[in-house]
Amino acid sequence: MTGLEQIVAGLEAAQVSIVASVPDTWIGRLMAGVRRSPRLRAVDVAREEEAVAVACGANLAGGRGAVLIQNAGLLNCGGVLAGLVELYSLPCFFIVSLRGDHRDPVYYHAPKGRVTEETLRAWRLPYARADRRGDLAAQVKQGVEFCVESCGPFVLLISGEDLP
Amino acid sequence: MTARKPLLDALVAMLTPRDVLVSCLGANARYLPHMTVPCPVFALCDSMGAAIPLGLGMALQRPDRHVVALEGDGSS
Repeated sequence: MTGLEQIVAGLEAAQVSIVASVPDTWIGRLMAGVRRSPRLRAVDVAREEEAVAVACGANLAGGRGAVLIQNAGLLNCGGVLAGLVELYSLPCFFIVSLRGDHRDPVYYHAPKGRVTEETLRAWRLPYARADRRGDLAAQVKQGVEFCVESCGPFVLLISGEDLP
Repeated sequence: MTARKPLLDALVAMLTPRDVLVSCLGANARYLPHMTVPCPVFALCDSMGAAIPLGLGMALQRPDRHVVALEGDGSS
């Protein structure tokens, strides 16, 4: 399976039901795979904070929601992470494209790449970089299950290299 | 200007136990705990603007339930 197929398979295996997204180029490719899945419902929103709330709503109603956004969008989400996810102890699984690290060929993403992981640590958000040498589906499933068990967020950072 | 409470009373009178009410923060969320609402209520005390997408996520997950999202004009 390709990396994209593994990530989609991981969402399915974790019984994610709703995937809310504001896509960038990389997440857009991933969302194309999500839309092909008969077991995942894609929800397009205008702002990343809305994606978080949609996923939280799915979780509150007994399902499993996930948020697929770029790191620029994650950086917009401090308020809703504190005021919704943290305040109400809601599971919320994120797949975030890590634009601007050394693997990203687009120069203007670099400022976001420099602050993303430091911001995640400052916000005390559990996170991991996806390891494409390993089983990406298992990493996704593990992240979703971490959210459910901890009643909180988890962020899996992916690169364009993870989506061949 | 129309008072808020009569509007909330009218809304609550239309709800049934099969419904779910999601409310934004602010005055609505402060009134609702003091009202007898016949369905589950999720009244936000923060997260301005989250009531509609939160309700949308609930409704998509549970299409068998009627989800009502109450948002303020300063939040949306």
